[in-house]
Amino acid sequence: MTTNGVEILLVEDSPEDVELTLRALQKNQVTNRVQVVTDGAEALEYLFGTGKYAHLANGRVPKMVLLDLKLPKVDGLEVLRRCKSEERTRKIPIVVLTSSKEERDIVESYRLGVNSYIVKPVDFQQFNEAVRQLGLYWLLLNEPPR
Amino acid sequence: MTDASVVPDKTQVHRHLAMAVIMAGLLGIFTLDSVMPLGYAVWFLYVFPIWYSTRLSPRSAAITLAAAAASTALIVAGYVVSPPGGMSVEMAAYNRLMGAVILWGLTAALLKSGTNEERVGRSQAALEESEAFNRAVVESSPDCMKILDREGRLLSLNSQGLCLMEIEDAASVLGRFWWDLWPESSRGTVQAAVQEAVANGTARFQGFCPTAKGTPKWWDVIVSTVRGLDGQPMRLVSTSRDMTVIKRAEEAVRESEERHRVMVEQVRDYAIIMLDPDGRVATWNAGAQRHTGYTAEEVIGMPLSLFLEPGARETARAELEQAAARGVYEQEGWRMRKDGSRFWAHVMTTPLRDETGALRGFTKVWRDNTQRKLAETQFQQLVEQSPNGILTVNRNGRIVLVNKEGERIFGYNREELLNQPVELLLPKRFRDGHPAHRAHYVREAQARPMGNGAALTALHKSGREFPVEVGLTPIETFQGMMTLCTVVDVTERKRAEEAILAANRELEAFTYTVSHDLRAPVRTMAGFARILMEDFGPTLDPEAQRHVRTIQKGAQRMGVLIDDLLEFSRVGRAAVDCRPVDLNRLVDEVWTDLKPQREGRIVELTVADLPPCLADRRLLRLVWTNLLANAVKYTGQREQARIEVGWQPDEEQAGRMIIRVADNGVGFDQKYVGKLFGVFQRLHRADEFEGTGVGLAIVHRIVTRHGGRVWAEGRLGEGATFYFTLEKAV
Repeated sequence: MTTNGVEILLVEDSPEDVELTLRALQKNQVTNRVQVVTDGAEALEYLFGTGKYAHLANGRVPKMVLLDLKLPKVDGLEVLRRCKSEERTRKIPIVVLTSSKEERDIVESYRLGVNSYIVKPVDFQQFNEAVRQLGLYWLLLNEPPR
Repeated sequence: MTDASVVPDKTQVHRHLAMAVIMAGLLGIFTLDSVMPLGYAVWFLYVFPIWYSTRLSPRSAAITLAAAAASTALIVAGYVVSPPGGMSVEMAAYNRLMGAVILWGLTAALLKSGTNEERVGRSQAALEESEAFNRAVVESSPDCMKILDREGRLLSLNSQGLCLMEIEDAASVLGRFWWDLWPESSRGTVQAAVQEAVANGTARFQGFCPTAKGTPKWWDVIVSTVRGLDGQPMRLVSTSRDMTVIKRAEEAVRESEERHRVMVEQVRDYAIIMLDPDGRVATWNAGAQRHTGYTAEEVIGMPLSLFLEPGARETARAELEQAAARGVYEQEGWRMRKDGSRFWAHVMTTPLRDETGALRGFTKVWRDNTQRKLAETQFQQLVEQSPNGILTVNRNGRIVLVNKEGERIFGYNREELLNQPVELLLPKRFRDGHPAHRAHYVREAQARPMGNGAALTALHKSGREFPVEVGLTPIETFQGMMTLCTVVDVTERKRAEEAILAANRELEAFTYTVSHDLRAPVRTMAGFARILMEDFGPTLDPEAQRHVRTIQKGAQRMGVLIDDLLEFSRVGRAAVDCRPVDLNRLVDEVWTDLKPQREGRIVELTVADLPPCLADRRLLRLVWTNLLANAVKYTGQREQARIEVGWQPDEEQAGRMIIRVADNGVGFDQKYVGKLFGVFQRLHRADEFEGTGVGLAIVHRIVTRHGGRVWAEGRLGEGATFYFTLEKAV
């Protein structure tokens, strides 16, 4: 799991949204390996190589994280905060992908250092478009700093 | 012989001379008349005064001896003129007898004067000393002392007299009759006094006599007689005391007393009366008459209880006793007028005592304080009935006043609070720090809320703590600086505020949930309907494809509704940040944003030059977006769509303007105007015009939150005009 180049960690508790997101990524030729976790706690374990992901402790971190905000156990903003405050994960581009248009979520996310904030539109077509731009930008155009 | 007076030892010299004269006399008589037995008799007669003269002063002795010598000479001459040979013996004897008689008479006379002179002469030294002393006494007298002869002529005057009488040259008055120095009108008195003094030894009178320089002066004069050795009046001494200052003071006192009396009588604002020791009216002034309606004639001699209410009459006595005991007694109370009405009097009673301390009566000063009393009563009622708790605290932090609500709020009754430290009303944890706050407040006294806006907690008697708001106002009273505390128990308000806050929090949590969770299933529906169409579309029959598209449309509409609803909710909660806004630019921007909606159509927008307004630009943009989008939407069927934006001053609210957005679209029936601004209220079917019915509700909410009004006019098929008001930027 730590190999195969570019990796995307998708943190999303809704299986339907996981499916829609994966489909959108696929349609847009973003074929990188995607790891799906369904709650915030698991996301942190994966990122920091703890718990059931202890074997990843010395491995590489994902190239990008797609993060829902409303998550069981540990919410998305907390995951974001932890990532941005740890040396290991600070440089990973994190894109919040959420239903919420609430201003306080947006403001808080940017304050914590999110790289992009995308509201999941109801319309699938629009969603497709958003994911396409996202993939292009963060995976193809934006080289993460070394 | 006269030389004897200059010889120091007068008595010695005098004795020798006297012996010499006696021997000469003896020789003369014995030689010349030794044949005559009568000569012996003459000798005896002669020798006696000679002997006596030895006891006299040299001067007296000299005169006596001179007289004796003259006698001797006469006898010798008689012998020569009538020598015994030429005349009869009888004649010669007669001559000698005559000579002896003359000698006896002269000597006897001289003996008499010699006795007086002798007395003086013997105490000559003492006399000189005494005279110097008397002169000094006379000179040092503070009074004008004069010595007059018994006729009343001025013989001398002491220097103080010259000074008091302002006489520069004593010679100008010496020798004049005393009374001539007095004014015409007083001369009789002065003469009478002189006569009286001569007759009775002393006389006294007072009179007015200007000085030599004309200074008016009052004199108190005592005249006494100085008697000679013979007991006869010899001199008069007059002592005149300058009374002018005392006289003036007396006159001033009399005038002052008169003025006082007149003043007291005429004072109208105060009743100033005097009572005798029994409390009966002795004097009455205009103020007393004005206050009570009684005239002086009616009340003088009446008891004080006349002015007291029937029930309080026995207090009159007590009042006077208090005054007599304390020196002055002040109190306030109702007093009765003649007509039976009452007035509120401030009364000050002062006992009057004579020099021995005996009570001579009382003065009473009343003031009619009815108006002040009424004002006070009103003020007290105002304070008492205030819906706020009111406390007054003095400099030492003691409570001096508390009203009914104050008692209720803190649960104490008045007696338990008065004179207690105000810290009693604070929770124990705040008590220690409070005196410092108080001291600070007293120093910088100004009206302000206590705690500078921080939440304050007070302590109820029961130990329950409760939230309060306290206003502090410094007030200047006759008891010194006080702090007026207005206390409001805000328990209920705090509870209501918290309820509202809780409701708001709930609403926020609700919208947050809606925002996250309601959209997810809708997205799933829309997303999977699309996947169905993409993956299986070709295999579905047309009817199935139509159903799937309906599902998609429904999901999309649901998404829009949720978004609009959230938008509407957000508009209600967002803070309104008012700044000047350039409306012309804003309208231009919104119009540009609406380009997609008016694509392929001819829509003519006319915008008047709009003045800048004061508003939250972000929210105001939503207003314009909704109004212009509506206008574009509802003119959709017009070939020539026209939208006009204009403004006019608001005549109902100064400083505001009315903005109007008019279109020539489908309009609406005026009778449904009430539904226009409600949420999800629509006047058209969705298949006629798309929309959720939230746009105008958002407009209404934003305008209302800016303090403005919004309304609409419309006619079916003839267009609609929307109006809203905005505050003009200065």
